[in-house]
Amino acid sequence: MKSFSILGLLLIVNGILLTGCVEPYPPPVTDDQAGYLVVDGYLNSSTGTITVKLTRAIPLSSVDIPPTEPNALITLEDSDGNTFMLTEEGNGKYSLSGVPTDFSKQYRLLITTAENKNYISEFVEIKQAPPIDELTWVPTDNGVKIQVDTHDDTQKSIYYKWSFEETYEQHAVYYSAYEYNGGDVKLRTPENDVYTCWKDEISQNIIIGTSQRLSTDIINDFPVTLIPPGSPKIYVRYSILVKQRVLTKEAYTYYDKLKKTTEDLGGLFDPQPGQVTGNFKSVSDPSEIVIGYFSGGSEESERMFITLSDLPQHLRGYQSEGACSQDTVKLEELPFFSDGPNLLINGQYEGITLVGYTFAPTGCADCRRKGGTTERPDFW
Amino acid sequence: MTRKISFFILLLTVLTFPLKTHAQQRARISGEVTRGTFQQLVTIIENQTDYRFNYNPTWTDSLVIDAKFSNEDISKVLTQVFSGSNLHFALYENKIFITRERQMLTELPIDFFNQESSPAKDAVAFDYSAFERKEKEKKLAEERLYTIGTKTSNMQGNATVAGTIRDMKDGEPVVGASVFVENPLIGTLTDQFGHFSITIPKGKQTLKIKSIGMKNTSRQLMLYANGRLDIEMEQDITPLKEVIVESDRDARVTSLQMGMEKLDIKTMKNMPLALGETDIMKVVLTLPGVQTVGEGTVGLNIRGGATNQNLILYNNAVVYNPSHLFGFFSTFNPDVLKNVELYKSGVTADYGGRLSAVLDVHAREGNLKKISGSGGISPITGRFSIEGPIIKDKTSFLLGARSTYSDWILKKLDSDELNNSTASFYDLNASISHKIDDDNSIYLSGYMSKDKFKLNSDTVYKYSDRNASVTWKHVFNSKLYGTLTGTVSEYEYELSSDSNPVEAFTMNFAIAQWNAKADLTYSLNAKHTLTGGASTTRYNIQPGNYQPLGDESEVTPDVMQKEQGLESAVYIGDNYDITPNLSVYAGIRYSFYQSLGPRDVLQYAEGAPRDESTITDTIQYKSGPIAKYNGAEPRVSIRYSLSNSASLKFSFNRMRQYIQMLSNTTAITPTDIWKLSDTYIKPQIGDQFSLGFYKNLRGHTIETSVEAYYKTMTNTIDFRDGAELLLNHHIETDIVDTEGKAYGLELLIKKSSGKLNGWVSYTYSRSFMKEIGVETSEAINKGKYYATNYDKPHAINFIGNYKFSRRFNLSLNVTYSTGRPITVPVAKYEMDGTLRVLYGDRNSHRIPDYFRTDFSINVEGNHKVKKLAHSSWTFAVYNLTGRENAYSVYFVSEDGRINGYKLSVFARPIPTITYNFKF
Repeated sequence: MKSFSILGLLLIVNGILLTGCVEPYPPPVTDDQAGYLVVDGYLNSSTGTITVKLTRAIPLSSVDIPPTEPNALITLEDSDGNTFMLTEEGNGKYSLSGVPTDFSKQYRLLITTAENKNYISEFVEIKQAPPIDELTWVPTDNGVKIQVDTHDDTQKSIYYKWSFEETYEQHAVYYSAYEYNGGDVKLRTPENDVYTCWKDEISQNIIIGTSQRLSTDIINDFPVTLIPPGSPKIYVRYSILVKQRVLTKEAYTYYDKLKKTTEDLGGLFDPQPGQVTGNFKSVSDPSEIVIGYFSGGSEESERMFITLSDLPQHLRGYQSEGACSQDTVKLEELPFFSDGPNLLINGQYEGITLVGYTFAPTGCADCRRKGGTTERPDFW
Repeated sequence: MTRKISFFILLLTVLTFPLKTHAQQRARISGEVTRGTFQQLVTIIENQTDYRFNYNPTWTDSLVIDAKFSNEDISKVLTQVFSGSNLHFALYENKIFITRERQMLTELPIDFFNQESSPAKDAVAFDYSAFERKEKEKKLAEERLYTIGTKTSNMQGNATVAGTIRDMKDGEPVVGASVFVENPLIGTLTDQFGHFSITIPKGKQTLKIKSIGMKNTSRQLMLYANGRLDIEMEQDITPLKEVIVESDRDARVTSLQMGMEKLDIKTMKNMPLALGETDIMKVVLTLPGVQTVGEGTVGLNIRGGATNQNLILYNNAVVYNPSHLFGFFSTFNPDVLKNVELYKSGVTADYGGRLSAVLDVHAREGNLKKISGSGGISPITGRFSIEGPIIKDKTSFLLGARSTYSDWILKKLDSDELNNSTASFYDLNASISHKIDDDNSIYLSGYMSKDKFKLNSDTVYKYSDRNASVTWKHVFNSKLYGTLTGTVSEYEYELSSDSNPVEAFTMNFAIAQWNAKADLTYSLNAKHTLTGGASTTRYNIQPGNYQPLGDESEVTPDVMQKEQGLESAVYIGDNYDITPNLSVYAGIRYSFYQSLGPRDVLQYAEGAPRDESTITDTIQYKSGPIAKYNGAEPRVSIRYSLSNSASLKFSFNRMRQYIQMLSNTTAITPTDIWKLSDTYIKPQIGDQFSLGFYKNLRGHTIETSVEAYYKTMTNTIDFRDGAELLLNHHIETDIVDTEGKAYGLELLIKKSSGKLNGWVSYTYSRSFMKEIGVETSEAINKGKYYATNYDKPHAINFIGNYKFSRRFNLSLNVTYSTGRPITVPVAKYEMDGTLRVLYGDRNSHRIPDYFRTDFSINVEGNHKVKKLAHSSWTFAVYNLTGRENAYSVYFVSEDGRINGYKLSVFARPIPTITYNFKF
C-alpha cells in the first residue's frame, strides 16, 4: 500500500499545543469534618524563644477561617529531660523566651489540649544557619530575580529554607494637600500625609534549597523570589529582608513534599498528591491525623533595597490614574462635601481668588487604602 | 525418498499442438539439480542441446526436482522427473512438448507465474490490455481447478495445504487474511508473513480467501495429498470507507481467538485525527476495554491494567516509550505501518512478559514490484518514506523518516510559557525483506526515535528509543514451518540543566534488552495445530547516572548500580478442533527469571517495614544469580459454536511480568524508570478469566458480542505518597506491595458494510488495588481496596460512517467515559500564614466525565482505474463541541489562599485538513 499523504494542514495552529485551558474549579464537598490539630512550632536558638501556634483544620469547602486552639498545655523537652512550660498568649499562640539552647541537644514538644488529649513531636535537632553571603538581584526577561548565595565550610547545613519580608514605598494617585476637618479646611501637615505609604508583605510559598548533590556545601544564586516586570512593588523603592534557616534532612523532606503537593501542581506530569502530615502524633491513637512540624535552629537575615531608577527600562512600571479622576467642590458647597469617601486635593483658583477645591475619591488620594501604613519603617 | 512432486493441473486448459510420444532425436546431458525447479532443468537441457521446451509453467511450478545425471539420455531424465506425475513429454524435431495426460486443448493457458520466462506466452493469440489481462487472470485463477498432491484413489482422510498469500500489486504478504472452506467449516488466518496452513478433507474443495481492503477470492482444489498453494489477492482499489476492525465478518464468531482486535492502517487512516496525522495509539483507544488517563497521553490501560503491563512490539522488538512530544504523537510513523493487533485476552503461549495485553505493531514490507514513495507535510510534522525492490520479486526495502518543526511553532505562539519551551523529535524506520527461496525468507527491521524538549524550565529532556530485529522464516514442509527471531531494544533518556553553572548536571537512564526466539508451527492434521518455541531475553539497566556538567559544576557524581536480568521461557500450544462446533486451544508457557549480579543488596530488619532506618546490612553479590523466580503460565481458549452465526468462548490466561515501570505520576512521563524484579520486587502475576458470546445478525452484516472478564493481579506495586524515584538507591523503601483485581463487561454492536457502518461499544470496567504486607493502619487507605488511577467504570464509543456516494463520506466519532479517580484535599489549615490542604484517601474522587465528538469528511478523487495516483481529501474536526475536558483537577496554595483549577488540554475544536494520494 502506497499512501502518499501531504497531510495534516492544521487550519488553526495557535493554541493547540499545551496552551489548553485552565479554569477555576470548586472544592469537592467531602463528608470529612476535619478538625485535626495543627501545630506550627519553631525554637529560635538565636533568641532563645519558642513559639507555637495551635489551630484546627477545617473542611476544604468551608468559608470560615481555621479556628485557634486555646487552653492547651505545651511543654518543650530537651534530650536531657529538662522541660520548659510555654505560656499562652491568646489567639492560639503559645511562647516562652529565655530557653537555653544547645546545638548538641535534641528537643521535642508535648501538647495536652483542653480536651485532655496528648500529642507529641519527634525529637529534633536544632540547626545553626550560616550567614547569607550575598543577597543580589538580577534583571531577567521575566522580571527582577532576587537571589541568595551562602555556604557552610563545615558541610553540615546542606538543607536550607528561606522566607522573606518585603517592604515597598507606595504613593497615592493624587497628592492630597488639604484636610477637610469638618469644613475647616487646612493645609496638610507632614504628620498627616497620606500620599506616601509603606506596605509589608511576607512570603507565602515554601522556599527550600539543598546542596546535597554538590561536593561542597554551597548555595549559588538561589532564586528566592521573582518580581514581575512593571510590578507596583518597585514603582518607587523596594526592600526585601531575606531570612535563612537550616533544616534537618527530615524537615527538608517534609517541606519538599508539602511544596510538591500544595504548590507545584498543574503540569502534565505531576506526581500524584498525597497526605503530608509532619512530625507529630497522638499519644493515645496512632491513627489520628495530626498536622504540623516542630523544628528549631538559628536564623540569619540580610536586607537589600531596589529603587525604580536602578531597573532597566523594560522592567519599570508606573502608576497610572486608572479609574481615578478629580472633581471640584465650590467654597459655598463645602459644608455639604462628603468627607470620608472623598479627599480634597488642591485649591481651585480663578485668577488669584480661591473659589473651591478639587477632590477625588479617597482610594485615589490615600495610599493606606491600598494597604500599608504611612509610618516610615526604621530601616528605610 | 527426496523427490517431492506436487503440481497444479488446469482442467480446462489444453495445449494447441499435436502430441507425439516417440522421440525423433536423441541427445545426452549431464548435470545436477537439488531441490530445484523444473525451470532449472530446462536451462540445463537448453544449454547443452538444441532442444527448446514448449510447456505451461503452471503445470511444473510445483515440481521439486532432485536429480543427478551424467551423460544421460534426455528421455530418460525426463521420464524419471515426470514419473509419478501425470505429465508427459514429447520430442519433436528440436522441440520438447510437455503435456498433461492426453486431453484436447480448448483454451489458452494462463501465465500465472513466470510470465517472462514462458515460451508459451508466444502462443497467446489475443492481445489483452494489461488490465483486462489481469482481470482475466484473476477470473481464471478462480475458475481453474488446482490439483494438489499426486493423484491417488485414496480419498480418505485429510491433507494439508500451505502457502503464502500476497498482494498481486506489490507482492507484500497479506496478514490476517482468513482462509477457509465452508463445508465442513474449517478456517485459519495467515500469520505475519502471509503464511497459512490448513488441513481439510481430501477431494474437491473450494478454498475461500477474505481480507479487508482486498477483493475476496477463492480457489478450486482437487486435494489428493499435502501440497503448496501460493495465492495472490487484488487490492480493492477504492479504499474502504468503513471503519472496520479487521477481522473477517464471520471470524469474530468462528475463530477461536477472543478479546483480540486487529486494525489495518487503511482503516485507521479513515478516522478523524487530532493533529493531522494518523496515530495508531489514539485509534486503539476507541476499542472497548482500552482506556487512558488523559488526553494526549500515550499510555494505554487495558482491562484495568497499568500502562507498563502492555507488551508493545514493533516488528517483534519491544518498544519502551511509544510517545513523541510529551505524548501528543505516537512514535509509529503511519506511512510504514501495516497493522496493529491488540490482544486483551486469549493470549497464546508464545507471548509473555507482560500482565495485561499485547499490542503487536507490524510495519509493511517494501514493494517487491517497483519503487514508490510517500510523504506528508503538516504544520507540525513532515515525513517521507521510500520503498521498492532491490531484486525484483525477491528482495525489497522500506525506509521511512519523520520529523517535526514544532520548535518553530512554539516560538510563533503568543505565550511566554511556550516561547520558553522547545520541542523536537524525529524517527527513522528501515526494513529489508528477502525471499531466499520458496521455503526461506528473511526480514530485517530497524527503528529509532529521538526526542528533545524543554518545557518552560531550565531542564532539557532528551530520550531515544531504538530497536532492531531479524526474522528468518523457514518452511520445512507443508505441515511444519518455523521462525527464528533476534531482537535488540534500547531506551535511554537524559536530563540536563546548565542554567546555574555550579549546579549544572546531566542525569541519564538506559535500558537495553536482547532477545532470541525460536517458534515452530506444526499442522499435525485437520484437528490439531501445534505451536511451540523458546525465548530468552537479557536485560541491562543503568538506573541512573548523575554527573556534573561543565568545569564550574560542583555536582557530586552519583552512579546507581547496574541491574541485570535474564528471562527465558519455553512454550507449547495445541489448537484442537474437537468437533466442528468445539475448538480448544491449550498452551503452557514456563518462564524463568534470574536477577543477576554483581550487585550490592541492602538487607532490612526482619518483620519491620522496609525503611532507611531498618537497613541492617549490605550483601555483596558477585556475577551470577541473586534472586530466581520461575513459574508456569497456562493459557486456555475454548470456542463452542451454537450455530453458524453464534458462538460462546472462554479463555483463561496466566501471565508473569519480570520488569516494571516505576512512575508515580498519573500520565506516563519520559523520565519513568524501568526496574527489573529483584530480591524485594517480586514478579507480577496476573490471571484473567474471560467469557464471551458472539452473535452475527442479518447474514453476518451485523456483529454483536458481549465479553466479560475477571482479573486478579499479585505482586503489583504502588508508591508511597511523595516517593522519590530518580536516583533512589533503596527504591524498595518507597514501593508498596499491592494486589489488584479488575473486572468488566464489554458490549459491541458493529455493522461493517452498507451505506451506514460503524460500531457502538459500551464498556463497564473496574480496577482496584490494595496495599498488603503492612499493618492496616499504616497502609494506603487503611489497607482497603482503592480505585486505581485508571479506573473509569463507564465508557461509550460510537464510530459511524455514512457513505453518500463512492466519492463522498462522513464519519463521526463520539467518546464518553467516566472521569478518572484523583486524590483530593479534604481539609485546609493554616501554616506560616498560608492556607494549605490536607489530602484524603487515595483516589476517592473523580475528575469530571470525559466527552468528545470528532467529525470528518472524506472526498475521493475520481475512480478511473487507470490513473497515476488516487487522491482524497479529509477535513476533520477534533473535539467538535469544544468541550473543555478535564485533564486534571488540582488545588494549590496561592497568595495564602487555596485555589482549585481544572486543566484541559484540547479545550477547543481543532480542525485539520489532509490530502492523501496513493499510487
